[in-house]
Amino acid sequence: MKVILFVARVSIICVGFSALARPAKLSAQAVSPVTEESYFRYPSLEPVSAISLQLADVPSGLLDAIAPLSKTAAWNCLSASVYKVEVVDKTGNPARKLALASVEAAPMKDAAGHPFTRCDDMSNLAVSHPGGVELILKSQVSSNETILISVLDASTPGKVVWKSDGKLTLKNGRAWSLLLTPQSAPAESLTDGKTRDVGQMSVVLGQSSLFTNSALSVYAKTSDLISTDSKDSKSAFSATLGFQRGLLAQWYSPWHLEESMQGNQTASNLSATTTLGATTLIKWRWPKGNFNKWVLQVPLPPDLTVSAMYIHRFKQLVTAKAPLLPSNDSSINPSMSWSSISLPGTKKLFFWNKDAGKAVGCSSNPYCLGLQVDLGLWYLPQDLTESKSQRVEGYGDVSVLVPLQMLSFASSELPYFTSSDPAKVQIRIKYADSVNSANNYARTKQWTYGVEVIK
Amino acid sequence: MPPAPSTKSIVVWFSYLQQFQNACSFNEIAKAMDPLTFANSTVLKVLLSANEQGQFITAVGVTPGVRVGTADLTTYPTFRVLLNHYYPLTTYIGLYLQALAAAPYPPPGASLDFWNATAASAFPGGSKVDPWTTLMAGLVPAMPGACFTADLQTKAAKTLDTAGSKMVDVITQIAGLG
Repeated sequence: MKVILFVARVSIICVGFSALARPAKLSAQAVSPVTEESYFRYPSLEPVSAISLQLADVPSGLLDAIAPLSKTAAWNCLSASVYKVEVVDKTGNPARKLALASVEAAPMKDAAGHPFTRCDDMSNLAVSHPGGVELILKSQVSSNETILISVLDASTPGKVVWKSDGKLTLKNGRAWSLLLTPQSAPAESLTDGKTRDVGQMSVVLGQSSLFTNSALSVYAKTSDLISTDSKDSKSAFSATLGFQRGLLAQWYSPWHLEESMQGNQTASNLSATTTLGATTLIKWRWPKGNFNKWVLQVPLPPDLTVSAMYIHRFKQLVTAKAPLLPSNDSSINPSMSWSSISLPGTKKLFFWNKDAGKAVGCSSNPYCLGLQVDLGLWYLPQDLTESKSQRVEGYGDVSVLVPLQMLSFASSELPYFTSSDPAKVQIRIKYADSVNSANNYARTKQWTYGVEVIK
Repeated sequence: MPPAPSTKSIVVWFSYLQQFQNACSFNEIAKAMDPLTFANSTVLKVLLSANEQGQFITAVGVTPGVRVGTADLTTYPTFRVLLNHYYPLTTYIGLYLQALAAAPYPPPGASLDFWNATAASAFPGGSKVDPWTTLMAGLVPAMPGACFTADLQTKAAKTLDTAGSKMVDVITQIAGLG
């Protein structure tokens, strides 16, 4: 068993700027009505990159510009003819016009479920409920281009009634992503045991969705390291084609199936891996009452993930460091994770602090210990144990989380870290009994102590 | 004095907030929150894991039908701010108050002019008389009690009566809930 003392873990460092926050009225005026919007359609999981335009924005003057139009029969805020989207140059002049594939918005229903108009007579709340629309681009845009959005008067061709500031950039377009990284590698080790200076090129190419308006999201990616020496032990290629989709229409349950070919650049080492995976939340009810209030509070369901993998090795390059592996290998790996468990009874340990016993439960009381639990197992049907039974390796970890505010000395010595947000800094004491799938499922047991700063 | 204008959009906004809360119903703590506490909760403290965030995004994509991206959960830190990104409550409160303001502010007057108007010019009689009392009487049933408390009504009235204050101050104060 290995013990690591005081491993400082900084998850997210957040510098407190709250004292510098603008007053509400100024921040309301500063928000642009034009923003980039990236989301996934569900259950197809197709990624969508759109321009969100908040038609009801007052500070920008957009609502006032379109309110008179919205009383006319020619106005339809879901029509692409009402909008003009252009790439502009550095001086703000239009460089090229972008085509719109569609204009979309959530279907409107009032509190009683009746259809409700989005943009007719927008200054009259008795008939309208002004909101945003999404402009879905047909054209490709690079991330260094800036975009100007104009709203047109549909009854007067070419008449612009409102313009954005022309500073919008889109970072999440649907283009293929390509990253090439050349590098030199002095004294790189070769598969024949020698070393030499080589040049390498890292290639990462991917597309998160090959088809639009598809019932599922088909993706492709490749990650390669091409070397000037074919014996370079680091040379590698990996090409993956897969698809993903939600299993249930109204409950988040994505699953994916992918095929991946992997090997080195001369294909003297070559294997195919088929992966099927799914993840979801489990429907959850935790009993209310005294047990919940005083003993154990588990307000959130566990995350469940299942992954099955089959590997067929066509060729293997056996070296001193890479022993011969079975031609066919498979594994099934279910795992569960609880991210938020509280122990309300632990606040009684802080009897000297009058604040500790104030709130019932832990949701608004920082004087509770927290727990995080991860459990899983590897089922390896091709791998037999000494007793000739199929191999199963369980693993898991438990973390005890101590908010720094619990410690009475910290409240006076470290007021920034302990004030206002009870979970800002916490001590994590973790015990992990883990298996490493990349190292023949070797088992390690480890204690870790750390301090985390959390946003 | 004309009757209070329609509060339909304000009522719909709070029904959407309720639907946001319903979309977090897998979280026993969020489910039990009053509307104000939920509205001001940090999204990423209620939705901790990727699956919880995905479930929320899936549920609000069905009802009320808003398309939330994962990055939005960080960009718009509370549920109130997130919902305001799609449906701005400030606009609805502003249009509601604008409808009975003194001339020249009611429609077809510009909303931006009304926001920038001094409270004294928009409601010359102040908070003790019509049309303000009519407006508040119409607003109370449109908003959950926890989100439009007597204390907030008093504060909004005080802002309205403060010399030099602008309508944007009153609007953002009411839309800030409390």
